[in-house]
Amino acid sequence: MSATADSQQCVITSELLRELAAVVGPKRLLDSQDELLVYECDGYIVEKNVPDVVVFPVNTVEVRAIVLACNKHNVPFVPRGAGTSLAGGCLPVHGGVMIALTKMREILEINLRDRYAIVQPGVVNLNLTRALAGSGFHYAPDPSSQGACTIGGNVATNSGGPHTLKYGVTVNHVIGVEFVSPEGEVTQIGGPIGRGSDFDLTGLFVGSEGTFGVVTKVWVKVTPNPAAYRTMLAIFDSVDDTTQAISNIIGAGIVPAALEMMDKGIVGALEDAFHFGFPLDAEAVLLIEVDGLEVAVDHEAKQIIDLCKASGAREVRLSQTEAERALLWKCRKQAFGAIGRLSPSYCTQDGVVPRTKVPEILKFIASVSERHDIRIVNVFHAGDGNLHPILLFDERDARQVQRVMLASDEILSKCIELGGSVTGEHGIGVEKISFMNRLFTETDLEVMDGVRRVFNPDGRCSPGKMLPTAGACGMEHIEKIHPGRRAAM
Amino acid sequence: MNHDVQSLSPATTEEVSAAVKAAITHGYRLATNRTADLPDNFRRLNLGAMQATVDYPARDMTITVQAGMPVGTLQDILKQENQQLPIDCCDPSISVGALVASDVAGSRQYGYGTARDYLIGIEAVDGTGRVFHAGGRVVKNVAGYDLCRLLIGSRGSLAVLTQLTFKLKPIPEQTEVRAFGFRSAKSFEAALTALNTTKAAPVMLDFRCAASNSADTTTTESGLPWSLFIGVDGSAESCHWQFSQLRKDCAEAEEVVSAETSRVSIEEHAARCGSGWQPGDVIVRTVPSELAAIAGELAAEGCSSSGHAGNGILCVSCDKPEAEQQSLELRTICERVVAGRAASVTQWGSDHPAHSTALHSVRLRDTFDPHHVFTLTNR
Repeated sequence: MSATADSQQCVITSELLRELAAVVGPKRLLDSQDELLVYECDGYIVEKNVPDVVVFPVNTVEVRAIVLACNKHNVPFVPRGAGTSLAGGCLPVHGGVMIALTKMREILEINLRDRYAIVQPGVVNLNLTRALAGSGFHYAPDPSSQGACTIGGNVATNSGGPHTLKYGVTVNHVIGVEFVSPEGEVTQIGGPIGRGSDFDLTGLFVGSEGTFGVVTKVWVKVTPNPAAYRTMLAIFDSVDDTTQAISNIIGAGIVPAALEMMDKGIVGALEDAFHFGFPLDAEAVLLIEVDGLEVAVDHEAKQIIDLCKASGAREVRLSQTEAERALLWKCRKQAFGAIGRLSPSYCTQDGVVPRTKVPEILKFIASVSERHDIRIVNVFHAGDGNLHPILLFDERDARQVQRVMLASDEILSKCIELGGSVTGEHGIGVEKISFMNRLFTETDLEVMDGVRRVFNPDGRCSPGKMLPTAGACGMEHIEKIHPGRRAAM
Repeated sequence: MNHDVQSLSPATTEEVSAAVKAAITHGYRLATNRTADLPDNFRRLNLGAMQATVDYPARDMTITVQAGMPVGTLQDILKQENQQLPIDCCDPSISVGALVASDVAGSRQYGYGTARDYLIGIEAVDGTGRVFHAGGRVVKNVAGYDLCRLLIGSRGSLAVLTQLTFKLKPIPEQTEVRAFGFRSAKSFEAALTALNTTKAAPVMLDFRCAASNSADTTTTESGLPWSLFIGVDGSAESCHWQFSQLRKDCAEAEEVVSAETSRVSIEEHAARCGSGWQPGDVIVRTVPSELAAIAGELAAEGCSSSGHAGNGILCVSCDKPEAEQQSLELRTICERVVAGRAASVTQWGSDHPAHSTALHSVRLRDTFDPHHVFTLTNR
């Protein structure tokens, strides 16, 4: 028995299983319940649903054959990278076939003279930069999960990271994509010489959250390494002073390479984990990096140090060695890993506000924390106004989960009220789907749905993502009517 | 063709929407470009009455403007806050909407990128009269499909842009351009290769190459067949340091003979370059490593070229834009030269997404403009 993409959990036929096994072989196909459980969710653990089968293709031909088999049997399919998405982007909402791209991990070409690389979608982000080590180039998008997340996943969610303040997000670094369309056609858009005279379909594809097809190859820009860095840690006794410093730095027209804020809760967890020497009595710290010409970075660093001190910083430390800088960034990028020291479960939000509204939203988050009795810590991309309030809870306590949902809703609603967005880099996925009709008009969503149908006319590829269904009221994430099941409680 | 097509001048987005709906009802088409001649069944949609600044929170370094605002006006507004939209445009009277719809990107695209890197939000009207939005007014936002990038370079074939939000950059303390001359494609490419890994941070790598049969190579500024215009910005100290580094980079390249000209600002350089690409000009896009060889072969065929060497873009100008025959001949020469290379050849003004036959592009046009209101040709 088959299922349409619009129905609830589909049923996989033995015929489809045989066809898939014929494509990838039995060793690259999972269909037993215990093995499938690994794939029931991504980094967003609040909603879960097991796929019916997981396949691991190794090339474009296999991906195409899988998609054609799914179409023949009218079964939905969803691509998946490393599963580090924080919004349920690779949740198999109706079950079906999960196309895991982690075995497509070849770096196919590095061309330094023309500043691009061609990679398969399963290449881990950091592995590309490692492959470039010593060449004078790197791959600029650096999400905190870069040691695990894949470039295909980055393309799907248009990932960011700390250094996107200066260097831009994934779409600014992707110049071409090869994908298998939901109709089973292998299509290349863009490439080493860009889009030519066609539409910028690459720009449209990046951030489409797997709803336009399965990425099989990516052309990315590689970026020259800066000649010099200056990395600073500014320490503050009040959150207000910290946010004022952020506002003053951006308001002064300075664009650092990175401007990250960590509050007391996170700093404590990081110090526990890494023993960097963070001041445990500080209310917040700013991790600020400028890069560029050796002749220019000292001047920029001095400007920033002066602005921080004028905003009330009690101390600004300048990283003295490359090892110290590397440790600072290790702490920042592994902040989420350190959260386990604070609570058994956490939910990270991804709201964005205009940069000068950071002080206001942080005060609001503190009030939400108090009102719902949910501890919230903050580590985020302050220079972009991209917040990551981390709501700490125990997923075994249903009342806590409900309070977390309400608190998240209030925070994201406030971001919209302040002129911002509900996601800066994690994507809509299933988590924030019900916010879409608060961010956009009915016509906006109708137009976007039309675009989805251009690529995915039958809706079989990644159903239930990004766009709400007609008639949604915008509170479904709280009422929990998603087809996925709840986290264990 | 009609030189006196009726012009519509909506003052609001709602009026743009009404104009589109009227076009559907009455069976005529709409054009937003400035092309002199339009077919008889066209009306020109002139957004000149839509020039307002909608929102300029300067400390957030973003601005939202109506699409009819001239680029020069926008830059003047930004200059008051020491900010800029670092997309070079030879004609300041071009509207911001046209800048985005045509994806014009001038000299500094090597260092600053293109509209793709700055447009963060749009309001537009599609070919059914629907008013829609995408993106927003914050610098980082991945909610919804990226229709901003879809409309960049779409040449008005999907929708009429009515409002745009950009993120901005601070204006650097100073900019500086110097021209370096080279005798051959080989030495030019050697310099480009050296500059690819320079410790300096040039924001502009433009070039000119004189045709081999040209008696007057002084048109290349340096007095040599090849001129490379390198632009940098930053503090005075930074610019000075960068040029000392760039000189070393060029000098270390094999067989380089350089003759450096006096410095000018990037703005002065842009003014000297004239009015930009014209209809009929042939544009070759290639990978940067192929550019010198292609330009060299074109020079041997009697074609001078210029463009953005760092981005692999070169333009062969048609002397007489109205002379279609000359333009076609140039295109034929370019296509012969680039054959077998990673390169594409297009003609400015005629090759654009409205003519794409790629499956998804055709479907997009059918989705956004089902009544062919924005279609310049029948499809």
